Amino acid sequence: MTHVLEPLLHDLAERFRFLDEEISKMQVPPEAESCRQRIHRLVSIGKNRIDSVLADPDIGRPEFAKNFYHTYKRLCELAQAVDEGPLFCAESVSGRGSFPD
Amino acid sequence: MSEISALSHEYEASARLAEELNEAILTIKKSRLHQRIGLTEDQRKILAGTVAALRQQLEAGQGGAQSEFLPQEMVERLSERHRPRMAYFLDDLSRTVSVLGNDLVPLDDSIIGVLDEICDAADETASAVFRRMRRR
Repeated sequence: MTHVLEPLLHDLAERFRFLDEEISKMQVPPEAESCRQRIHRLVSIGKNRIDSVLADPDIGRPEFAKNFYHTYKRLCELAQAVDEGPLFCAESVSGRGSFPD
Repeated sequence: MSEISALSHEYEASARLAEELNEAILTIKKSRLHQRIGLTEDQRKILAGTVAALRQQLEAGQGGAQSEFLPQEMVERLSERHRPRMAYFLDDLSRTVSVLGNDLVPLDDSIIGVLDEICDAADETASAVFRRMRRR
């Protein structure tokens, strides 16, 4: 059974794959490298978590919907924090950001 | 501590608690559905400890000592929600602690209901604090 959360989870998984790729190829000064690695680890954990939720055979069960929704919310917050924090700063500094100076 | 540090600390505590409770509830629900082993004895004891700390804090009210791992905002949410029937909620929490502490007693719907309610409060707190952090 397809659950209403599934498209949202697939969308978030795609977002995590994008973040994972961007952060893995991010060039930072040596003093910021440990920070980049820490954020990359967090993103990898998030990516694996969302993949495991999508692979869960109980994902379509209504009695689990609220719990999977909670998981989705925490992962969304992580993605947003990474997107608007380190990734936004790095892209602005490197001139790849979407906003003009 | 700066405001953003305090918010960050509050977010971390409520998000971690919400995740831990959510994972425990998922494990319990799955064990009941698929007739398989649920929480370990240690996991039940840890969960019982969390619920006992919450009960103690709710009973003590605002003047009481605050637990380090229970976000104050979450406790206040539950306190506000259950103000008209606090004695009954404290009883529910006591029963939950007692059942979780005894590995031989199965976890029934009422226990899951109580855990779900605490989890909801932790989840709402994490979301609210996250929104406040983004506005800073």
